[in-house]
Amino acid sequence: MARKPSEKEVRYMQTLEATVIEDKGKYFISIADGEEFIRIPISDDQPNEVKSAFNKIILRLKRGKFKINMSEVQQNLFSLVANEYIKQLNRELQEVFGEMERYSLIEASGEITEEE
Amino acid sequence: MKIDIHVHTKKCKKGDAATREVSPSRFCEIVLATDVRIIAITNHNTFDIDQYNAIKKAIGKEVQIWPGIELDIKEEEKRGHLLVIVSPTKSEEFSKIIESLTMGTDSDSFTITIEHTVKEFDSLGPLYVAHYKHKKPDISDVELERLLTRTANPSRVIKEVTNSISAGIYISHGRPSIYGSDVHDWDQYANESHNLPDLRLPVESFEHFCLLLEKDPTTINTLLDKKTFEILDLNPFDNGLGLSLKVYNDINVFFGSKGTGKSCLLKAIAKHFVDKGIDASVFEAGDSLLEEKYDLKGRDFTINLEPFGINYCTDEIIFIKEAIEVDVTSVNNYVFYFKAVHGNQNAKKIRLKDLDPEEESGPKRKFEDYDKSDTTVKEFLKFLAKNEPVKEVIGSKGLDELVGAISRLLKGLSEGKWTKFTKWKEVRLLNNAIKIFKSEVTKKTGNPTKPSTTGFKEYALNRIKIEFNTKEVLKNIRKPIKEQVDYVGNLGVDKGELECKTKVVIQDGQISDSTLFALNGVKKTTQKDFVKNIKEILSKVYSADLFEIIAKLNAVEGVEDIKTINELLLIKKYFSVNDIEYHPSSGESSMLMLQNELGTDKDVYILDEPEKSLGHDYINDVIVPLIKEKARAGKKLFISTHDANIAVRTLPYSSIYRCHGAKGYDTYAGNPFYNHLVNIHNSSDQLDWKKVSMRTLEGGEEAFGERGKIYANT
Repeated sequence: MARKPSEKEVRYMQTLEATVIEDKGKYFISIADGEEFIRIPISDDQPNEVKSAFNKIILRLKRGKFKINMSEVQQNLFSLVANEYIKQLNRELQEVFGEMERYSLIEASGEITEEE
Repeated sequence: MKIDIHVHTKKCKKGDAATREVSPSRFCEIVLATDVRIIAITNHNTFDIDQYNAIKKAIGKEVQIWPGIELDIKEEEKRGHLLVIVSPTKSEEFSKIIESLTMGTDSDSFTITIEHTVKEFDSLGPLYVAHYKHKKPDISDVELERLLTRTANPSRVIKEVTNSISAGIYISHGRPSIYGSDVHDWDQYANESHNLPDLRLPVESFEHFCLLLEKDPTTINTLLDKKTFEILDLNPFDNGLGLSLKVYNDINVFFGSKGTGKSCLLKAIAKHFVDKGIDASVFEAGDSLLEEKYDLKGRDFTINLEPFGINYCTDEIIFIKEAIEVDVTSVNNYVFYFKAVHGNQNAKKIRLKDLDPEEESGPKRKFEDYDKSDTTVKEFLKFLAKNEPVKEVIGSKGLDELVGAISRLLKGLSEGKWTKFTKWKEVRLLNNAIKIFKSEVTKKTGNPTKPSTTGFKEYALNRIKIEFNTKEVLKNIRKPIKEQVDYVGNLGVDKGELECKTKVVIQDGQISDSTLFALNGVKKTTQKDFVKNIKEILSKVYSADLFEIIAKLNAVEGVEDIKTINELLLIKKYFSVNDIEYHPSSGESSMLMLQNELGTDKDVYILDEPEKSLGHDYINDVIVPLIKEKARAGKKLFISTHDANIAVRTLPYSSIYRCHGAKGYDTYAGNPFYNHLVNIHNSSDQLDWKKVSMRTLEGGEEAFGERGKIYANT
């Protein structure tokens, strides 16, 4: 049976830190979730990579509400893009979380099971 | 109604069991608990007028008590027993004769000859019942002949045998016979009374019984006419010749050789009643009909899944099948925007375009919650206002207070709903304005505007809905459906009750039972593949290849036929006994079909050769009593038969005989009571009911004995 997140897990929103990283001339938003990293490409248009990152974000949302924080915003192009992107993403995260609650899809394990 | 022409109430002889003694009150208690409504008290060589009167007084009019005696007849050193029974109106006279006859003797030593018996009692018009053959001590044929020649009423001489089977054998040989309980132990009487002879015609008195013995047509017709009857004008045959039949709210039997139009007659009778708006159809025996009746192949099977808490998932299945990927916002849009953000001075002046849209789904959900509560409370208020039980429980004042409180709640909800609505629309208006401004600025300046969404929300909501819908489908697939059990009938004490079970399951992707079959023309493999793909969709709902699985689902052959959970049903219908699958034989199927037909409550039963494939024992022990029971309840029964058990042992009020002679087809009507069959078109053309029945019916000779149950005559 899937475990529902505790009230504490739901109520107290966690913050995941994001940074802009450069890898072989390409830029990414890197969101740290413990030891895991979710990478969103921002210098190249790679929708499949973005979708893959979104899937990970949805699964992370199942475990509880969170927001993404980018502490260091620099005045270079990709930092500005990342900052704006994260700002919008944060707003959408809250909306999606609300819908997930409505559909009773919040599960502490973040796993997809057939059980209610 | 049963008759017992031989009971003892006293221990008269040394050899009599003490259990023959019964007090008037106990006698009444025991007899009234049975179906016996005529009893002749026949103690050994004794008639106790005081006891007789006490019993008669105590039992009232419900049971006829006839005075009698069991005499020891002695002829040429041979002893035999003869019952002499007289009318209750002659009990005093009868008592005096016996008192005078037995004076100075005791019951053990008293004997009398046939001649003397006739001389003493014949003037009372008695019924003589002689112990015969196996009923010991018996009166020999010679002595019987003597009795028959001496008495003024030979038709009132009957032989007493040991049981109904014996009675049957003797009657089939033309000897009137009957049997009584000859009770030895009154504690056993209630049980033994079940085997006593039935009276199919209502016998009102001793004299009445004697007239029936003499087959007096007036008496019989008077009795028959007391029964509800009707004249059926039928046109059963192609030749257009109609016929009128007098039929009773009782058993009406049609017999005759095969091919004489009995089935046509039954069909015409069914039509007659159907035309009058009465449910009537011809029941035809046949072994394959049981499977059809219970629809073992499930051709007409339908089931409502809602009582089992199962959602048909119509919308969910459509959603999954039609789901398509939602694209995300290209990151290039952000890059272009920030590259161009300092380029156009006019564009900079319009700040609205740079505002971020606000979250809309939250205010929308709030409004929907208020709206739902508002509607529910409104409905409840309407319900309260016109609900009498509520008013009765809390009174008018209480109801007013309750309605007042709920009205206040409703007011708050309505106001809240409006506030939430305006908030939601405010956000929507702002978001639309931002969108329009962005678009217009881009058009006018050529500069890209800032994207308002990453596309995450729409992307995520799409996947969430797919997850929700697949879960809903799988949740409902897992719900159990209670096995349906229908009672079919009784296969007898050795085998037990036959049930028809309907097992219904929903294909869960793992069921491979070959005895289950799919409904609604959907293939089993299609059902299985469908469910397997749904499961895979759920497992890959947040994977890149989700839509490949959905495409795979849509490629399953015949998947278009699966629109609801209903198309995933698998069923198995089967017969079972004691929870073990059972395949009834042809005979058993026929038996159960007939049981079923007679078990259905109707006013008219029309049975065409119900005996087909059935054993004599079953007809005799189960079907004949059932038919008689229906007749007692005033139902109309029309039975075409070749079986004497049915045609004779049911003692039909009406027997219709069809035959084909030199001049064509003829129809005769009659009954067992006056033993005639009269041509319905020519009353001078008459046949002997018994002879025709014995010749035409299977098992005729044996069956005729039972007719002795009526009033012991042929």
